[in-house]
Amino acid sequence: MKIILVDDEKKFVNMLAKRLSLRGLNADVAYSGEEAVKKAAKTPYDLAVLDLKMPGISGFALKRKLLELQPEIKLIFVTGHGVIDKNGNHDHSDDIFLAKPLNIDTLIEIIHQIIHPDKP
Amino acid sequence: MNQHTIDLVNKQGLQFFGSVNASISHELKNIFAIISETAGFLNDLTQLSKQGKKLELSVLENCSNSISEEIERGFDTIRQMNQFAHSVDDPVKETSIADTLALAVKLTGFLSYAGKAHIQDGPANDITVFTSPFLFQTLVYKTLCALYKAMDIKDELTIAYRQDDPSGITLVFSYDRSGDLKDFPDPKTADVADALKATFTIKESALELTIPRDNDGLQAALADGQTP
Repeated sequence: MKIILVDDEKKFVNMLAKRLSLRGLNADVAYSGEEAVKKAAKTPYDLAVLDLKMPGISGFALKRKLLELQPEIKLIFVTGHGVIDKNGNHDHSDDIFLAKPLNIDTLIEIIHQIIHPDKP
Repeated sequence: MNQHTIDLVNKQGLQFFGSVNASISHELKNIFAIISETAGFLNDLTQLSKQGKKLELSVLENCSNSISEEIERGFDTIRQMNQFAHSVDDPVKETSIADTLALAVKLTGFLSYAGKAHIQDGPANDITVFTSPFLFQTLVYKTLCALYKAMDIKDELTIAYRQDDPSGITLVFSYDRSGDLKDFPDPKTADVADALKATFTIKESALELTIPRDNDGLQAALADGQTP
């Protein structure tokens, strides 16, 4: 399973990638939407974990760009906002939204549910 | 200042207070998220150590430094929140231009679309205006937001201020590339400017905000308890 974590909070994504790695999940990091698009153009990913509010390309805009490159990619949105504003999510899909700070066990459980929905 | 404007400014003041607090809490959540992940990572390492894996001291040191840096960032954010909260203490008072600009730049810095802003050193003696510190803060904040939205995020804004004559102070926001400011000021910002008797002048590479040194009308209105 290949994951990309995208957040302009560099320390946050770097630490999250290390913690996922210790649990056997391989994650690339990108510090902006632009960097994520460049990486996704070269590397296939199963899942992207995206910050909603980033300078430049926002989380929802990045979603559209990633889906153009990789239509099968799954998405989890992460936000520091107390109230999650889904207005920019134009296709009204069932994307998953998680609030910061994250619980690593919850995140991993959700990742496995997304990637292997048929497994109990 | 008519009642319509007073009502609009009151409503906007509350909206502004809410939006600034939302961006501050977002910043604090990001800080807590980093501390939480770093503490979680240290816990992961502790568990691995119990299983016999050797701990690298440099990794522990990096984690400790990172937590300390984020705590300092958190304190700095809370200091700004506190300073902003106290801007409603006095309806009108002598208000420092330098302090207002510095706080507005820091508060707008929490917004995802904020670019960089550099405040040039002002005169040796700080310039003040007798006005509503909260509404003045609101006006400068809204001006910065409009400029950041009009500019490319990589562009830098330079802010300077001068006292042209005893009656008014001019804040100059200079930018290399002119963005789309044709709709500025929007009606809400114009209402705040009207309340403060402030005026905007848009030039090719700068936006100027001129505010009177004294605002007697505002003082009288606030004395009647009409505005925050």
